Amino acid sequence: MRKYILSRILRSLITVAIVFVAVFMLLRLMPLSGYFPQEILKETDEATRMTYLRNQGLLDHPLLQLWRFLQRLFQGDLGRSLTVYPKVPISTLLKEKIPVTAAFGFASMVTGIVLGIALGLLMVRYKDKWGDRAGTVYILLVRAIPSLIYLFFIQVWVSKWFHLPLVFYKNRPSSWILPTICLSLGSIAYYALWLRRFMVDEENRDYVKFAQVKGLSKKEVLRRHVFKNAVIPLTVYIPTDLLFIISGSLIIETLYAIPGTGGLLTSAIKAQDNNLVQVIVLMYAVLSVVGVFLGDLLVAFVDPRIKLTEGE
Amino acid sequence: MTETACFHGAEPILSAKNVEIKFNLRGKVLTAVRGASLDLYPGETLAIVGESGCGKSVFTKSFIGMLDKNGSVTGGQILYRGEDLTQYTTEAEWLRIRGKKIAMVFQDPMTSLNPVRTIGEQITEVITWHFGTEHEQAKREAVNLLKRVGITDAESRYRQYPGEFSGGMRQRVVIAAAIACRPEILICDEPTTALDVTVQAQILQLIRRLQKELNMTVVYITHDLGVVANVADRVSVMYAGQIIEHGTVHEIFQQPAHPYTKALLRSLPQLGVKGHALYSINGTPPNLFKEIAGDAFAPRNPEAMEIDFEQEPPSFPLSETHWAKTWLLHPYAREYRAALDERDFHIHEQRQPEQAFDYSGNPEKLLQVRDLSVRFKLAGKEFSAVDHVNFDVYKGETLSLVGESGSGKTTIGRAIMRIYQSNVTGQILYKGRPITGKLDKETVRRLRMEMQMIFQDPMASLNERAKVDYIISEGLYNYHLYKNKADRNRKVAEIMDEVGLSKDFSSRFPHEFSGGQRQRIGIARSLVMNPDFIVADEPISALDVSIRAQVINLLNKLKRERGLTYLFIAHDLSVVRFISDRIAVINKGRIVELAACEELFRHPLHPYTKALLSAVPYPDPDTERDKNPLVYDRRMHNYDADKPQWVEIVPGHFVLGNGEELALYRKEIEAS
Amino acid sequence: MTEKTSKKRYFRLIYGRTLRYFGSALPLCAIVGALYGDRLRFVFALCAAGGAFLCWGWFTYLCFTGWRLFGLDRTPGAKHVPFFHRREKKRIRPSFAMKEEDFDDDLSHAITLREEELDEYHRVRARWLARAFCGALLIAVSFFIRL
Repeated sequence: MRKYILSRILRSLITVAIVFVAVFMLLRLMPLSGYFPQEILKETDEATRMTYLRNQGLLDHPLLQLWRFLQRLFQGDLGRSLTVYPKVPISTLLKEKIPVTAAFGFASMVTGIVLGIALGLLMVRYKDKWGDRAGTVYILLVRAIPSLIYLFFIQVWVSKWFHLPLVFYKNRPSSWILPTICLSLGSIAYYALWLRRFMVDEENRDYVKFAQVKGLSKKEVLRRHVFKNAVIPLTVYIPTDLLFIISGSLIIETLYAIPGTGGLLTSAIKAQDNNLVQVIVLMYAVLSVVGVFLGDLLVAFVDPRIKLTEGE
Repeated sequence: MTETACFHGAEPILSAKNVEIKFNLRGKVLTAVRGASLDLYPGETLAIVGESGCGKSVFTKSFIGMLDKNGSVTGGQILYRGEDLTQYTTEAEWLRIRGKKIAMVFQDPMTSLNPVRTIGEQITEVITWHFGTEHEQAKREAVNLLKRVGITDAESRYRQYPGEFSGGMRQRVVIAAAIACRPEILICDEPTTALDVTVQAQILQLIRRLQKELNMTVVYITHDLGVVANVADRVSVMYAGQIIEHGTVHEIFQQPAHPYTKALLRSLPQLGVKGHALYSINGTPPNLFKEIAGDAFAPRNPEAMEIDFEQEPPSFPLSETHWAKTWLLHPYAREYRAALDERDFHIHEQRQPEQAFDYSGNPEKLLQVRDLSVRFKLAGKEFSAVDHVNFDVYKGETLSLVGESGSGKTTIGRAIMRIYQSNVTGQILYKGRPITGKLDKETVRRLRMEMQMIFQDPMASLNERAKVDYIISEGLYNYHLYKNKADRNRKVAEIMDEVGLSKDFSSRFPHEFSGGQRQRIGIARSLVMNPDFIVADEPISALDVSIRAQVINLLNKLKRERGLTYLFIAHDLSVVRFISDRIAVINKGRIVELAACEELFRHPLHPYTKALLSAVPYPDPDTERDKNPLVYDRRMHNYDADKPQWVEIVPGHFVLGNGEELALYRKEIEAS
Repeated sequence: MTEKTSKKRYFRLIYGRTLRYFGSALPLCAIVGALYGDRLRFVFALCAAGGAFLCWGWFTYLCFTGWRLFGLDRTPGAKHVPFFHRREKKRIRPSFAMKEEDFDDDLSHAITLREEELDEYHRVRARWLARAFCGALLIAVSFFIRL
């Protein structure tokens, strides 16, 4: 067991490192003009700009640049924003934005798990009846319609029906509701779909039949055997969910004008702020990788079969 | 049977009368059980026998209300202590009976337990659920149950997961869970089919012991007549959804009355005479979607009378405990029946076993295996699946490799077929030339034509999307073994005729065929290459008794006609005895004994062979009753100082042992 | 991998694949450089492609060891079911998409096994090793271009 965890941690460290390097390299392909605020770009000529870049080390070999970036990273220096918030240190920016995004992410993750499992259970309990069908329709809608369309629809119409604010205000809790729900819509569908799949799959297994033959009632069998077995593989998905929430936050934070990192990234890309883009993209890449590997570790704690195979 | 007599004084605890069960399958109605009746008496053991698809499982499942959703009991009564179970509609009613009064054990212990909950929990939950016992109390009871079913160190094993148990141990746990409420009736649905023979014998013993201790009634559902002879007091033979014969175990085995029962018994290889075709039942059980007129077995019965096709026979009593549903027992058919009996008797008497394979004339060695080892890597660790194995296969003989699952028998077959490449050490000589390692193209091509393989599961080895014609001629395509299209078609037609497949099957797909026919297709596919040597990997294990007989006959016929040599891989010693000339017994990657067939059965030397032989169920109630299966434990050998050697102890009889053991074996031979 | 020949075959496979990847990635990077018209972009593109290949190789390795990106497609565990109850799930493919291994199962392994073929383990290993090598090679090449 300990060997399993250690090997997973080692493996995730390597993955983070490799992904970090790859993303850093890919980001070198950003246009060079993105290293200058608009007005400077207009005022200076090509030659002065190139000397500036050369002095900054931005024309060195990418590996060398990576080395320098890492050195500064460990000193807590992430560079400064260029165009979006000119001259502001990125670390100060992030300190301000991360808590907002993290709060939203966490809230929608919890909503996703709770509502998703509830919907999945409903679908299994009323399999082939109205509950199941309604759930299926929901899942199909979420998966088939491009998210932008229904997100827009929700922002415009649902907010009107329930008299909820159209955009985010930090001091109005009611304005938190819609974005959180929007962010978790996809996860709800995903959890429900997989839970239903797993539970239906488990229901057909011999041990479920044997549990029924032992005289346990259907409900009891569902609770004691089917649900537990079906939830275990879902835990793998929980951290992966993070990936979806990250990508979802890019859209939703812009839509609802939430001052989070997702919205910051979109505006940074729009304004060609190379330094800012670089830091946020790297952060997201690392976060996703860590999330995915947390799933592996988590499942090791809940699934006894993993301990068994390791013991041999 | 003194025990049997007393049943009839007692009241039956469960009595099923004319039960009819229908299933609705996409609009079509399948009548799985067509008026089956059964009485169960306290303390007895009843076995229900029949081919697959004759409704045995469905019938017993209706006793505990476990029919699938689309099935229902549409007629008859199931009376349990005066209550009619067919009237139950709600789950709550069933829960008073299910698990508490009538329990059931399934065939596959590997899947009967929840892999992510400890075995203790899974037993405890039955107790707390049914009796509302407190958890601690229930836990103590569960530990006692585990001890009772023969699990040592029960306290610590209580907390373990099913993955930590072997198949036999899991079946013990399943049984413990089933008997947790001290049920009156225990239904065992093929409880040992999934287990190795030696484990099977232990489980049967355990069930018998528990039955005595708890005074349970046990119902076995099985297709294995050896198991029936071992355990049953009374036997019901089921065919096409009806019980067609019922009697005490002695009556069924010694005076079977229904032609189906007779046919089942006669098609057992254990009772066949070597060298003669085994009796086999033609065709397959009837399609239960259709209405069946007359005796359902008549279309497969060559001796059927006219009335068999027209009217369903009533049951005729033969004795107080024995009845059968066949017109043969009608007074008008007495003469015909006598004539049939007479003929059967003569056929049996005239049969003399065939001359055994003649090894004295220095037969040609077709295949020589020298020091063969196959090593695999599993989770970074290397282990030997096959460990220094030596044997020869003579031209024209059938050599059988017999062993339990995981013994490495299939690995040997595959190594010979050159499926493994880099992890094989040692030498394999075919026709005197080595066939391991790198070979030139021409040799490889020749080997792939001359050596063929037949597989255990015919369906898994046939491509579903290719027509039979293509499947059979694939080898011909690969090696361009035909002149033109007409020539290829002719070759395919010849082969299909030879293995007994109708010509118009060639344009159909494999899933349209029954298991036996699929195995024929598999055999045809190998034969079309005109091989000399065939590795048959459990070709009959997945088949029903009657179809098994057909395939055995086919293999034997082909061997005679084409002079084939077989390496036959099997786990069932009884079948192997009928078809092989020599037998090699393999245990944990090593061949422990090799001898001519009869020699091995008469003078087994190695303790593992002895254990295996003692565990094989034999379809004769008298020999089965008194037998006490031996248990083999590898630790009995002391190989630390004195390494075991592979020695020809008497000409033709090889055994593995160290100096001390060999001396003992020699003494044993002299004594006999 | 005991045999010398199969070892040779294995290395040749890795070498061949590496060069094939390299051969297709290098011109692409050159095109990117040419489009921008400077050597700098060529170096950046080389490094980016190198990083991507390294990543690809590593993730191929991870998948090979049983890891799944989205965790949810269960990896088939060891089969404990005895053979006569085993029901292999068949892959259903339209017939035009069938590969040789779909076409026949065991016989094709037993009889039509091609000699050049290595076992599954080494084939996949060769695949991810080649990708990783190609990535490293691309990055290494970028050092030889003067900025």
